[in-house]
Amino acid sequence: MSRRNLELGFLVLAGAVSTMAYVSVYTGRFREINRISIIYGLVFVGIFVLLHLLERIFLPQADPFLLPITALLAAIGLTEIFRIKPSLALVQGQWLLVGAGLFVLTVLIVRDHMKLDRYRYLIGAVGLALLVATIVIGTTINGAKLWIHAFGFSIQPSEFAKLAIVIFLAGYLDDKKVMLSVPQRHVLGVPVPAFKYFGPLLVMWVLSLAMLVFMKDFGMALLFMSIFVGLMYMATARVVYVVAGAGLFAAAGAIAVYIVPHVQDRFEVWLNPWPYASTTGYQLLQSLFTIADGGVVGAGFGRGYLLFPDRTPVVPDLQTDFIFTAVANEMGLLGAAGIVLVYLLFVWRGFRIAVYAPDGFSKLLAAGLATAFAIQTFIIIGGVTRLIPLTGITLPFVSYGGSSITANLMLVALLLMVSNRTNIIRGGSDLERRKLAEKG
Amino acid sequence: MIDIVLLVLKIGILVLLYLFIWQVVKTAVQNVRGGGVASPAAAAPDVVLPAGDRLAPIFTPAERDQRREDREVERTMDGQKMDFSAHINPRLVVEESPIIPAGVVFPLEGWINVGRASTSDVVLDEQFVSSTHARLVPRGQFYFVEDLGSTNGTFVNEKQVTEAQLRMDSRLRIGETTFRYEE
Repeated sequence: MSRRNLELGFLVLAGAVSTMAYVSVYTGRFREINRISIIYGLVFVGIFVLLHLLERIFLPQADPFLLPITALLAAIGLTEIFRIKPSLALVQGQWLLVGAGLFVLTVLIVRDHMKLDRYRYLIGAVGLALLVATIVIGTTINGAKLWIHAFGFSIQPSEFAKLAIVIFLAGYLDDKKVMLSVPQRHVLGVPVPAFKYFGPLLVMWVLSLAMLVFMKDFGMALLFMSIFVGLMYMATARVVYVVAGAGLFAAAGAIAVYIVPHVQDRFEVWLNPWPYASTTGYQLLQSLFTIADGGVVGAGFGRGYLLFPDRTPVVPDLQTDFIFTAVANEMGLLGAAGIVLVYLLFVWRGFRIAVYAPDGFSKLLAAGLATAFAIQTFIIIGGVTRLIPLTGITLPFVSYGGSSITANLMLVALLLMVSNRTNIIRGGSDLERRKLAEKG
Repeated sequence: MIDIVLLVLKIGILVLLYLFIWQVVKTAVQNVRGGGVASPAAAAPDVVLPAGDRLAPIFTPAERDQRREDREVERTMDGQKMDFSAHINPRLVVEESPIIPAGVVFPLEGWINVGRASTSDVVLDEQFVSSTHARLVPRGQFYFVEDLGSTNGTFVNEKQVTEAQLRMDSRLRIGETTFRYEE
């Protein structure tokens, strides 16, 4: 079966899950079985089928699994948001459309990701500017300074900066990897390459620390640091960069715990939430109770105890940071584990695209995007289950939030472009090769 | 009634979720085994031999020489041997490779093993090459390539093959190395 037919098949399967979930929520709420609930599923699948048709024309040999995985996660997310607060689901549905639009624009304008390598410094500068702008003119919500209010929207620029930084680092490291892996001198046993190659990377490191201090957000700082260290390791194959990076970040984190009260609270709650059960630890404890309440198979969509009788969520921020808690409650241990497996599939496809990519830039780009996606998922799922200190970051595709879903759909578009190019080079038809050559 | 519907939906969603995961893994793993190419062309090998032809029957050395002569050696009108392979010089020329410079020539004689193992006749120390990846086998005047169950496949003119005849200027790709077959 061709890649695109395979994709369509999996989209239908994802659509079936989405429709069933929505019907379940609708039926649970209104106690009646209604045709409207099925139409919702068709509309939702329709958006992804349009993206699928775009791929048929422009990305004929792209990976067939990424889009259905995205659709499945977005479906679960949208349904759960509808479950918690129907008015938000409408907004999120509009953001999904905007995200789909940006996906189309990314594919149409970029066409071939190799082009991005030429503008790497510009893209890197835009990423940096987004982060600096957030630090300077950002608004603080829930103790973290992550949002910019503009044109009546509040956007979270770090989600887009994430993509820009990965593109920049992939291009830069691919260019300079030989210089970086042959260090010229050692400082405390850590090989240090010539400053002129290392300089931009130092800027990255200082930036992640600045994010920790000024944005007061441990999650985003950890995400950027992980992207940076991961790409350094993949480009140079030197474990010492991972050890040094992790060490420096741990040191910075330890200092932050003492000097930033917001980070300190989170850290103490993580170690022992019980003394803070009615104050700073309330949210995390409610989350743990709600997850436990789900049991093995869950309450079923629309039937979990997620809302108090006055319709406020049992966990504050349930639709954004704590969406995984809601999913775990309604789908149970089996469903929650299944969702984690679906994330694993996404990351697996990402790294597989990287392994098979024929050139260094494509490899680092795909691997960097997959790393960013994996770390982001780990940070938030680990946070709400008290595996690591809780930090506010969105769960890709599932959480409520426009910036998150649009940026992550663009991430999917980039991965699909890399895999399309790889698969055509490794065995596409002559026509496809010619089209690819014309694009560059 | 409503409660039964909700129960069925709850179980159905979980079943479909795991069906989705299982099918993605299954299909994707099949694609790896098939060399990562899910095009219909990849499925059809160049030459299909009847099943019985794969294992050669056992002959005594004398019988084998006789059979080979019957098969390979054409005779002129007056019964003299005509050796068609006399002027044939089968060889593989490297066209593109991350490890071997382009233009390097491997003359072919007898059975040639290709793989990552250092005992191979043509050693390709690459990520996507299996340790015993493929072998080149002379049959009559012709060379055939046989895939030895490699993970990432053997490609002749960018079609995946399990077994195929090499013709003049065929492109043989193993891992990231492409050879041109010449006679």
